[in-house]
Amino acid sequence: MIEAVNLTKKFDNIVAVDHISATIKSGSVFGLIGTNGAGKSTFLRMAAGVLKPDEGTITVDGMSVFENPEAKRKFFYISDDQYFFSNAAPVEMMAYYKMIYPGYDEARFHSLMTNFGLDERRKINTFSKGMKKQLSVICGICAGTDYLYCDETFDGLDPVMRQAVKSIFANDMEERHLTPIVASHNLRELEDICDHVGLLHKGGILLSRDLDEMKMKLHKVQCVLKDEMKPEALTGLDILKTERRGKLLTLTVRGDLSMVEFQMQNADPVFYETIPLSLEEIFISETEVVGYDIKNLIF
Amino acid sequence: MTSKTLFFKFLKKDLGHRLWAVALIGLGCFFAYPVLAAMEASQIDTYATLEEGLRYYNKNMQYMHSFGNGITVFITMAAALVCGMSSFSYLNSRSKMDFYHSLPIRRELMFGANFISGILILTVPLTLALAAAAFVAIGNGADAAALWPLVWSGLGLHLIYFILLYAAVVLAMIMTGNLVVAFLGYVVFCSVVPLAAAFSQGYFLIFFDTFMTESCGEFIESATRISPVLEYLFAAENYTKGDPSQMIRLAGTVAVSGVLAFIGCFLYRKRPSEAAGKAMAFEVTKPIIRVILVLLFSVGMCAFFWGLQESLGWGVFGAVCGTVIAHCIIEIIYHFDFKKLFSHPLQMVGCAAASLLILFSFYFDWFGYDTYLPDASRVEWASVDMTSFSGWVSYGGTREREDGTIVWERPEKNWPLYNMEIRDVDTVLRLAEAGIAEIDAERRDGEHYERVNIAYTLKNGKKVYRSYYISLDKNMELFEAVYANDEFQKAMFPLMERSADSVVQVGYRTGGDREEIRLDALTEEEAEQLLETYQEEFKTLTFEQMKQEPPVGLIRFYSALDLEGLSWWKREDAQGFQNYPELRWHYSYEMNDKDFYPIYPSFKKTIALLGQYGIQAGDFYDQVSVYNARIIQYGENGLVKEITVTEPEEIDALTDVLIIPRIAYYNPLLETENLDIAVTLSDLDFKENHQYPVAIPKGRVPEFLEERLSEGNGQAK
Repeated sequence: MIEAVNLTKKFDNIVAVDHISATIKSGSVFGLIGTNGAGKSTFLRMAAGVLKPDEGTITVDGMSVFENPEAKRKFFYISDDQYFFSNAAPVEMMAYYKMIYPGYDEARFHSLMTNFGLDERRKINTFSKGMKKQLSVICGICAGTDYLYCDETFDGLDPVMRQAVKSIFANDMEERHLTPIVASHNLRELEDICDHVGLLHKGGILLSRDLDEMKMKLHKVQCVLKDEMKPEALTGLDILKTERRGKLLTLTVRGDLSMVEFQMQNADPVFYETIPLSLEEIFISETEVVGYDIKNLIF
Repeated sequence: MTSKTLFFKFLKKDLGHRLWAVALIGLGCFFAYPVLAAMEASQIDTYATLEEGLRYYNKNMQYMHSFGNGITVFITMAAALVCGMSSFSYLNSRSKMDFYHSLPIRRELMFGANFISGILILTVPLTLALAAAAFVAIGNGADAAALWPLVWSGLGLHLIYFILLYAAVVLAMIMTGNLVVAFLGYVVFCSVVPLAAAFSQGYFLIFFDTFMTESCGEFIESATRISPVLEYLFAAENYTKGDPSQMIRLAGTVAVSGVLAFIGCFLYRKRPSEAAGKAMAFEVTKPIIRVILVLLFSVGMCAFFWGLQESLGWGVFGAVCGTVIAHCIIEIIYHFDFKKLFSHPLQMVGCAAASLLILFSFYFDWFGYDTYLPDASRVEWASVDMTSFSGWVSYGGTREREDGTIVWERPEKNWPLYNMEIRDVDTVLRLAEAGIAEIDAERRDGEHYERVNIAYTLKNGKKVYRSYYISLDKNMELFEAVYANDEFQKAMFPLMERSADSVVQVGYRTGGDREEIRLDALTEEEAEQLLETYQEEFKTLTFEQMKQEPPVGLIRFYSALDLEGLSWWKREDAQGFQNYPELRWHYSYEMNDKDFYPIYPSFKKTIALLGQYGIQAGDFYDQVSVYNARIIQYGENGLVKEITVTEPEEIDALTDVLIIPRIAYYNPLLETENLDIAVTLSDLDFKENHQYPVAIPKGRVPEFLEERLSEGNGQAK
């Protein structure tokens, strides 16, 4: 488990991370979302022990990270601009990582390189941006650490590769309880990968929720009510948002699906149906509740 | 994996990533040592004999491998920069910092591995190249037994200084976040203290009339040697002197390198990763470095403008201008943003004020430097150097060096000031008082002013130096009182302390082209008698005598080593300095002209003794016949008059007063007329072409000449 308590980092007069407290549980994919400058990379760099927090603490499995090799052996950090030695080939990077991480899986490295169609002996500086990202993920996966920090790693990956990475993540989560932490400014990129999402804005954390939980608790209801009935009459529902197109109402409501359906049946509408929300819609609703217009934050 | 294993693996990987540096330094070393050794070997045959060629080659090879080799010094200094910067260049890149500092490796281990690999990058190729050069040299006939110790000692010493420079570069890299700024930081690191010392000395020289460089000679040298680069250069230069203090300095250098490496490691741990790409890594160092550099630049600019205009206004302009320019440049570098040039305005104003305070404190002498006069009770002894009296004295002595050369070695420090102990402090203080009174006084024409340097050795061991320009005419009694002091005489004129047992020959010189006459058959008693007689008469010489009497000749009391030295130079000169090519352009006969003392006409006993041994010391013109004399008078606008004297009566009148300038030089109180006079002696074959200069003492121009000079109202001929 990674736990940040009151974590703060300033660069000169700019507060990059502002008193963040968050918990990242093991065994799930944690998505860290936010605009450029929201503090995602800074958070990850503190989690990786690159930066020292000005205030607060960040621990990995209960161990403080900064200048603690034991804690650092628990994760592999892929930065948004991953460094490879000049003129090095993937196999040389592998050798280096193998020297550092005792549990490095060399056989898997060779296998993944072949599967991804990457030449192990080709100079990395001749790789495309996407190929470098793939190589970073392969190196990270093979390090055999409990956590894998990916900063904007999925930018530049095509959908097929993203799906492939997702499969590897799923496999490692299943087999050795890997916990990937993925930072991105693109909500749509994380939708099909993450189990839990934290939304950062201006250095602070707006919300941190389990994605399934959010999906289970928020619902979109499309309905046509009887002529004399108004949406305000649906008192049993926790309506977050109401949209009207002619007689068709679209309601965003919070609560269990069974409870929502029960309330709708009691209201005896002309027609109703419940539709699942996309991650975008969930975030729009959740952030509007706390007073933010997420369209201005992410899209 | 243990830390030790990881350390060596990390070290190996780091070396592998920097093979280019090994190759670059290796290439330089290859040409500088084995190739050069082979090239020089091909020169052996060009000498007259194989033995000579081998001797020369051996000497060159020993120099090549010694600590004094300038090429190695240059390679080492350049390598320190290359290795230091490449070892820690990743600190300037965010992506590299993210990479290295996220790895599960302690920073100390990372620092240690990088630091050591940087040292190995020079050590390995340099060692191999020097050893290869030694093999080449030995293969070509160089003396192996003499060469190998030099190879290892030279290598060891160069590496000690390399680590010092390298640690300084590493420190600069850690304290900054940009390669260019790191280089500037290293330059500052190496130059800030010597510059501060030089500027402070400059201020003392500019603003204080009584300042002497001896006041801060040791301070300046110590300050200069705080710079790692200058310390290295000094050490390499002094290596051959065999000074035992070098070993202490060497131990100090090792200790300082260790301290720098430790500070580097400490700062490396403390260095924030976000410093990558910034100018300075530690915020706390910014104002400190800025204030130091701004003040230094401001003081330097002030001195520069003072030097140009010598006015307080321009000094103020220089100080303010220097402050603003330095502050703005540093702010731009700190922020990498031109628009930030006036950040921290209060600091800028503070620096300007401090700089002006420094200027005013010197200009108005707020601390009473020029008027300093110690209390007599605080002074243990005083030393006085009357510069025109010490100007002709040869301090030092003949010395045979380890390399077989025999030279006249001058003392490093002002001899009278460091070897005189006058206990009659009151007289010296009164002389100093007279000097202080004349600091701002107007100089009077026709008066003889003497530059007098005084050193007070205080009872607390401190030495205080002052220099005055004092009217000798006005303070004759004081001057004579100091001059007559035994301690003054002994230190000012080393011959006064000389004992006869070291005298093996006596030389006598007079004017013209006359060769020096040597008394080489004197018995010990005769030499002793001559020396003691001269000492006695020289000691009783008064200022009044000096004013009246031009010396008639020069005397030198030779030691056995003096004679050996003269023979050595003569022999080597005849052989074209084949064994000592570095001396080829040396003034070979410098030793010839050293250690002569004047004989005054009133030294009757000395002259009489010399006469007994066959030397007619006396008026030179009594012994020669002058064929003619050419006198040229110059005015403000050049040549005024030229007169040629040929009449025997006129020549007689002239030779009665003529003196020989190179002998008169030994009498500082004898002033001469502003006339260019050359005489031709009758006993020379090439009369017209063989003239030599003479002079007439002030106020003693013969009547006929005065008349002829005033003829035509001073019009040119």
